[in-house]
Amino acid sequence: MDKVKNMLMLITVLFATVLVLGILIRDDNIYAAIIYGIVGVSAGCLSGYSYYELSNQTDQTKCGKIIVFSSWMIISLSLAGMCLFLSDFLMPAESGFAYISFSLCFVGFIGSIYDLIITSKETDTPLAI
Amino acid sequence: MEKNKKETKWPWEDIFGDYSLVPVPNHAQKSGVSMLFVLAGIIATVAVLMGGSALGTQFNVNDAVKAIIGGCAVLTFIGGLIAYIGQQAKSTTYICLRYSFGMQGSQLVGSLLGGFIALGWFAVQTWMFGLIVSSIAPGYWWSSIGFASIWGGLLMMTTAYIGFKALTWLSYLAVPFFILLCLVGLFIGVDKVGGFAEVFAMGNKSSATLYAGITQVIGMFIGAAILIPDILRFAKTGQSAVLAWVLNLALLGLMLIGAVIMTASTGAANIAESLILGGIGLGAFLFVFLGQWTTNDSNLYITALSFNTWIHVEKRYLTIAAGIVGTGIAAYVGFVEGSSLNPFIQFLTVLGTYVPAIGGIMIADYYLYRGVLKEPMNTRYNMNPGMTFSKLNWIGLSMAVVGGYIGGSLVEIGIPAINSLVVAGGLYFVLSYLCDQIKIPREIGNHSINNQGI
Repeated sequence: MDKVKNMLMLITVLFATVLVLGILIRDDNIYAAIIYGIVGVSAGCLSGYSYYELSNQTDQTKCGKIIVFSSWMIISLSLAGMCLFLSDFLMPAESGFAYISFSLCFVGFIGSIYDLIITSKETDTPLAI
Repeated sequence: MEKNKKETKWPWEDIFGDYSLVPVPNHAQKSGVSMLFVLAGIIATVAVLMGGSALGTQFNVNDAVKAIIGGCAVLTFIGGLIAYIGQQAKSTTYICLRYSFGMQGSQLVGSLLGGFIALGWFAVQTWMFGLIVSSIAPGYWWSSIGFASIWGGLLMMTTAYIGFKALTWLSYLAVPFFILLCLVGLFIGVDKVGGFAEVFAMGNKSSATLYAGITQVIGMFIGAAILIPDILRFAKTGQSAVLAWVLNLALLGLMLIGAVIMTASTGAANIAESLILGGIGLGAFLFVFLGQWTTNDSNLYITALSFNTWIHVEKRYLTIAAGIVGTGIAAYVGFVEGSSLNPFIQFLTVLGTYVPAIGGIMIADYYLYRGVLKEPMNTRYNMNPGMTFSKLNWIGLSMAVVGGYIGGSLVEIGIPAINSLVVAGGLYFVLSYLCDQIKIPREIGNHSINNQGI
């Protein structure tokens, strides 16, 4: 589960970055900032909590359930982020921020699929908890 | 310890899959979060948002919010009562109906009102999916109403075919996505009029009464409230089942309010249109796609469960058969120029007035009739192999028809769905009690079930 743990750490950092980008664009596009904030906080907290549980929890079954559920949520939030961040309505004046956020969500999306599959296999956790 | 003891002694054999005819065993029960997401997947559909938009065209935002809160409060109460029954019985709605309608009565009622209505709505939603896809991506062969109905219907069949676990996967994937896109659709609307304060300050007079609004909200979701044991039978406890239902209704209320605000501010009746206005083309497409999918696979799942009570083949084969029929209807209507399923929708709506009557009878039987008989609450619908059911409970069957007709069609005051529920439930309870007192048999024939639930 070390690889899953590292991936969770990476995903937490990625979504913390999305949150920071949201804060940076708040004066420019408040709606985009809110959506960046929701995606960043939700996904970041879920992955951070999963990382914390994996570091401290000895019960593999419980840990597996937490990671599987968090991974599903992060996949869904990343997908929403990828669909939304490059749209006209949420595009900030500095469009580079949008492309960076899109890329971060893409990596988060792939990483969470990896976490989901590996955790489910290694801890025998069903994909529907 | 007690749970483990029960688990090892589970006396049933699930030969049709997904526990369609037998109680859900402890090891197959799901968490409250899982229940919440599957329920949220059912309401996360464009049709619900269209219902909210319909309210938005009749009411100003303040009145619409009051109507939504009122309607959701009533639905919370009725659905909460039925959710608890489903969890305690750990069985589908159609198995629960055996107690108040008899073995064959439950097959008849369940198939007519659960199976055919759910199948009808599957066809309607598949057709609507085709309609919306063709409006989002016009000009392509794959996005024509007929073709989109076919591939959409086939995809929706896949999750229903796999069963409850696939409904859960899809709901996990779709629900956060759907909520986030709803929020953006709302923002687009609010941005257009200049802010939230402006939306609520829009003081146009409501063209309908508050009462009519509450009726519409209840009518939108009462069918799901009655059929909810099909999903909540998997819940671990009665409290988690009821809580999942209550939270789900809160989410429904928020989604409806969002749709009302969006309609009030943009005039758009379809949130997908609003998203496209904001340049979110792929998002709008996935929004419709996932939204319809999560709802419609549940329709098919419910259809297969209800037919399984009398067609004794594996549930997945029933799912395929029902899916092909529903998709075929949707595609046929889609391919025939100028045709519409709207008359069929009206027919389903009329038939739907009988669903609350059945719910009323289930509530009256579980809480009132068996309460008077002093049966312990947690064992009232406790089914065991070898247990004997009547073949037909004439009171249940006749009062469903009478209650549905009186409450839904004859009485012109009140809320039709609630009228049906109260009249049917009340008559069932009174007649059952009287028949017991004066020794008139209320049940015809006997049927002993085996360990396969047949």
